[in-house]
This record gives sequence, C-alpha cells and structure tokens, in this order.
Amino acid sequence: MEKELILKPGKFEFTKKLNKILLTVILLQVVFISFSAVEFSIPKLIDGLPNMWKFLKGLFPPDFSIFPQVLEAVIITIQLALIGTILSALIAFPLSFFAARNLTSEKSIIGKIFRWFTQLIFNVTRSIDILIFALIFVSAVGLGPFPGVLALAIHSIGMLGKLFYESIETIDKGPVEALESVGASKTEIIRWAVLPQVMPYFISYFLFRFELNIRAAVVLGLVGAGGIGFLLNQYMMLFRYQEVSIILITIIALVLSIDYLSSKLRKIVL
Amino acid sequence: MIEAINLSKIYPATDHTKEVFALKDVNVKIDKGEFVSIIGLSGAGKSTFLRCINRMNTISKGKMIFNGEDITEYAEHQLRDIRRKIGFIFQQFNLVKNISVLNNVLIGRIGYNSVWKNVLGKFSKEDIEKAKHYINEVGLIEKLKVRADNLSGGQQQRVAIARAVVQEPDVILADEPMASLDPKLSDVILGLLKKFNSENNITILLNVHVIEYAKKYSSRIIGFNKGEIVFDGKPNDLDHHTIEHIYKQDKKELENL
Repeated sequence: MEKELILKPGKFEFTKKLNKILLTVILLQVVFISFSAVEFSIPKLIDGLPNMWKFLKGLFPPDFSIFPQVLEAVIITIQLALIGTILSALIAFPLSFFAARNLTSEKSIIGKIFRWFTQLIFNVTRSIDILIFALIFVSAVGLGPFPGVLALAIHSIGMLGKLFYESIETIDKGPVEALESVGASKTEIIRWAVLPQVMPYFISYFLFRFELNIRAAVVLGLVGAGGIGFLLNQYMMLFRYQEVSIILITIIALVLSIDYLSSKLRKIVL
Repeated sequence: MIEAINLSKIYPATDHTKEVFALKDVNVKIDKGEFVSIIGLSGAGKSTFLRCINRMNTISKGKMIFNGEDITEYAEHQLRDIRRKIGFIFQQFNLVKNISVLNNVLIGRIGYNSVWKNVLGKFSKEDIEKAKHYINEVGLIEKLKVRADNLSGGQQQRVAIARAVVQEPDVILADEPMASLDPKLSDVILGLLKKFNSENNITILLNVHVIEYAKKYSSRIIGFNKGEIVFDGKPNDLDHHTIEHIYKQDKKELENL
C-alpha cells in the first residue's frame, strides 16, 4: 500500500506530459480528417461569392405587394407553434408527476416502473429532431400543417416533460410535510404543496418552448408543413427574390417580437 | 390521551454506521390540557418522539396510543383521522409561500373535507369563518390576502399556529418553533401557544432548547438524553443536577462534533 503511494515525482510528470501530447495529436487528426470529409474548400467559397452577390442584389427592392399573403402564412406558423406547444404541455404535465423521484415512493415497484417509463418517453421524444418527426408524419398523414403540429407536439413533450419533472424534484419539502401533518392525501399534497410551487416554472417553460417552436415551425414549412416556411420555399424555387426578401424580413420580425414578448411574460410569472 | 409504551425508534445499521436507537423504551403518558416541554440536546430524540405521535415517523418497537386507539400500525388512509386532530408546528414554518395567508390557514381544514372539494379549493363558509377567526386570534387579520412569502418570519410562524389551531386539534406538537426566529419573538410565539392551551384546552407538546422558556410556560418538563427519558416532572423539580444530567455528553461524542 505505502509503496504504491511513493511514486517518483519526475517519472509521474513525464507520463503526464506524454499523455497531453498524445491527446493533442489525436484531436488534431480528428479535426483534419473531418475538414476534408466535408469537402471544405476556400476556393470553392470564393467561386460562389458572385452567386451570393446576385442573390443579395435580387432581394432589393422588397416587393410589398404579397404582404397580405405573407401575413396569412405567418398566422398559420404562429398557430402551428401554439397548438403544438399546447398539445405537448397537456401530455407532459400529467406525465411529469409520475417521472419525479420525490413523488413516487421508493418502495413501490409500480411507481418505479411508471417513473422509468415516463422518463423513457421524455428521453426518446427529446432526442429525435422535429424535422425527422415531420418527415415521418408527412408520409403518414400527408402534406399540410397537421403533420407539422404533430411533429412539434411529440418532440416538445420530451423537453417540457424533463423541465417539468426536474422543477418538481427541486421543490421545498417543508410545505409537503406540513400537508402530510394535517392528514392530506397524495392528491391533496400535489394540489396544495406541489402545484403552487411549480406553476410559475411550468408557465415559464411553456413560453420558452413556444418561442423555440415558432422558429421550428418556420423551418417545418420547408418540408411541406405549411406556414411562412412553405411560402419561402415556393418563392425560392421560382427565383423570385424580391418576394423572398419580404418573407425574410417578416420571419426576422416574427422571431424577434415573440422572443421579446415571451421573455417579458416570463419575467412577470417568475 | 397520548401514551407511549416501550416505544423505540431504531435506524438499522448500514455499511458505514452502526444501528442507532433514536428512541429507546420510552414510556410516557400525557393527559388532556397539559403543557409539556421536552428538553435535551439536539439528536436526543425530541423531534423523533413528536414525529412518532402523528406517525410522520414509523415506529420500530412498542406502541403509540392516541385517544385510546393504538395507532402504531395505522395505514396511510387511517392516519387522516388522527392527523387532523394533531396540529404540527415546524421550526421552518413550512407555509406554502406563494399562496395567501387565508389559503395557508385553510389547509388546516383539509382533513375534514372530501378530496375532490379540497382539490377544487372549495372550502365551506364555515371553514373560511373559522380560518378568519384564528387569523384574527394570532393578530394577522389585516394580512388575510397577503402572500405568505411577503410576511416576516415571526408573522409566518403565527400563520402556522393559526393553521394548527384551525384543525381544532386535541394536541399541538411544536418542534422548536422559535429556533429560527429573533429571540425577542419567543414570548409572542409561546404566549400564543399558552393562550390556546388554556382557552381552547389544547394539549401542547413543545420541543425547546432554552430551559428558561420551558420553565416559564409549561406545567411539566420531560428531559431526553440519547433517546431515553431521564427526567419527567414539574418545572420546580428541575435543579442544576438534573439539568446537567439531561445535557450530559460523552467525551468521545464531543470530540466527534
């Protein structure tokens, strides 16, 4: 035991240094191989510059005549994000109570199975991207906003569920004990000791997810799920850049104003 | 009214610790209307004892009798009936912080109502009148609609007292209720407990570490040392020698602190 502890300091320092050098070499190799794998090339980028300039020039002047059409598409995008977020919250809300460690008793096997199962649902839905869900649902129910809503809802369950149950797990235990001491049942404890503590966080996470879903809903249009992204794709394919420009301006305005609104609202509830 | 018979609470041995007797063969009988102070070092078993009375702790050996019923083995659904008759006051108040004072006190009525009414928050007019009455008794009627976290510590503990008395309990268990408050407020808190003790004939069991308060307010003092009762008698019988005995510690334990 004691022999092992007395390592010669010089030798130890040397192996440490060697490890560092080895690690650096490996990391550089990985980065270098990756660069060539993605066909990264500066000349190609320079060759493409005139095309990019042509595109940028084409954006001006913006054609405001299609604004009513753009506005209609924006509203669909907002509705897409809103319904997707509401659906996911409705499912994630009850599930999160089964997933929280501090609400399921340690001894009950059924409780453990429920917790394991709900956490599995959250992890799986969270790790599959919205676009992949959208592709699956488009092939199942066809083009349009409906597959988009489904994709947003399913993916958001995972993130909201995780945030929800983690905020349940960090509540102050004191009120729970107080409720126990007056004879309250589990449902009553959740209603009076847990919900008041977590509701502000739930609302805040809901708004945050809505904000993310607005951005996701824009992209979803590109795969045929309707809304502003769908419109953008159409005009891009027709090379009508003046119309594209007004769509881009609207998207930027939409995302910025939703971000602003949601952060203002979140400050109020927290 | 409360009777502990050979009551023991044992924490089983784990890989790192030996078996611990938090309570060891406690025999005690407390009658209706008494004001009992429980004194002793922290870790002597005072809190564990209180939590065995309303069964927030399980009991390892022996019996706990409450109002003539053996509650030692009561299941979760049976506990509702006894817990609503036992108020509990915590050191950290344990109010629900972002709801009003009134709603916090109404929580004390939960044990008497059906679950669905409680979940919907539908309290009867009677319950609300009772809650208001006791909020007035603790002197906070003007704070009725204020959120609990906007109150000072002393005010929060008074709300907690109102929550306990609105249960119309037979007994109130108070676990170091002034320990996290300004010492000036101790007389306010204990004065309220004394008042409900004499006016409403509520039995009080008070865990306290300041002997002066135990002597001033209670009719009986119980001293715990290492899970065992080492003194049980009138405040006047508590002399220097007994106090030393109650607060006696092993040299070895002191070194471990």
